[in-house]
Amino acid sequence: MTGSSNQHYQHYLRRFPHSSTAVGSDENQSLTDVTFAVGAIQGHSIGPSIRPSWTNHSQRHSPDRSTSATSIGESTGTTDEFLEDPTARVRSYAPQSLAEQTPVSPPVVLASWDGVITEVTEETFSARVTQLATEGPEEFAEFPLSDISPGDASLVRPGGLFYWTVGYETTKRGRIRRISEIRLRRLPPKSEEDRNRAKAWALEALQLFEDSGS
Amino acid sequence: MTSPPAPDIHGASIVLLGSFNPAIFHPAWFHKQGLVSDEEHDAAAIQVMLPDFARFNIDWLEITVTLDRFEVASGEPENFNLLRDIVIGTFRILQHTPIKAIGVNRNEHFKLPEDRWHEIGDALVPKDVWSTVLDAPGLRALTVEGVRTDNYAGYIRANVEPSVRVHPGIYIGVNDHFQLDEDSKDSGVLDSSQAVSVLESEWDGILERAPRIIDTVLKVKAT
Repeated sequence: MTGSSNQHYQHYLRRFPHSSTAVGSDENQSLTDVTFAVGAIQGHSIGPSIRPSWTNHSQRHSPDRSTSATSIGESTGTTDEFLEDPTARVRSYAPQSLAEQTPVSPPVVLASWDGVITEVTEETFSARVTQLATEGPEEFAEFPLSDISPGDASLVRPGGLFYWTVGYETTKRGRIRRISEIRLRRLPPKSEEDRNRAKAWALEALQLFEDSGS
Repeated sequence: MTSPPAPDIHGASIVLLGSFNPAIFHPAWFHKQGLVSDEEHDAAAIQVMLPDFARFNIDWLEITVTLDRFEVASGEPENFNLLRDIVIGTFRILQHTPIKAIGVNRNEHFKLPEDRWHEIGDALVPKDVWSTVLDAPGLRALTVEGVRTDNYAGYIRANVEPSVRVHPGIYIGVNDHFQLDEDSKDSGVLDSSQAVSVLESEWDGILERAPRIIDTVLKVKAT
């Protein structure tokens, strides 16, 4: 355990009121502590009457900005906390660090499907797919096995579940690159308790169905 | 009609509130349970591992656990559905974990032309009232809450702020919050099954709701 870890921990605990599942306001500062700290010192606001102040980005790092930012919430961090822990930048991950490391913009997802594998051959697998977040019909699709990451290969079998996501990303030079990704789902089997609950629900539904038919 | 701009930065997370044992949560545990692949396990990076606080990355995913909070987050939109599976898988295994609330969060940043940036701020919070009492009023943070229309207790909150990540830009966050201990008052039993059930049965609605809220904010016009 290191000193910086402790600071990190305390910092994290301060960020979140115990009754909230949001990563909301603080999360504008996003998924990393780095950006959280940076977020705490930014002073932007939306409204035409303060337009001149935005042009001076150096003001973002002024102590005054840091102080004023605490009005958003008591859990807001400070520049000092960031400076005390320079390793925070190493610990940060997506999306900022990824954006910095990769030559493309973040991908844009156009659609996602939930799939169930029905058949596997030497080179392909077939599946029933249903588009997520829509009322779309069930469709059938065939995919090459070469689309599967090696780590997921053992999960490709009849009955296997997967997500299929299509979208695009834009290269730094402005070219659109289509992406299609298949990720096998890794769900442990339902427990005996879950199965009993499902069975009870099914019996109840059957009873209602029979009662309404009589 | 023009389509809304694509986000410049994505984020999604699922947060559970309840009682957790952070010491359990380690990349090796997720690997042993088959919840992450060999490659993901090999790429895992532990940030903090203490008896009451754990945080680590597994490839596309970050997991943070305290005694009362379990959070999984990703900045890769193509993997947002997998966040759901990590939570379902984890708490099917740890089925007796009492979980009193679950929130699914979307956080997106959009770079906008400056005029449009101002227009959205003015439309959401008209400055007429504030101009009489404040000099140069501007929107710093706006939270709007709606009630749930499904069978769960809880709320849906939308947060709008100037983005700190892209400038000029706007941050829009949506917190889809399910209060599970309200629902279990009658039965007196609080375990992980209610949270798992939310993710199994409500996922389509959650996936559809946040983009709709975000699109609405992005299309708002000043009167």
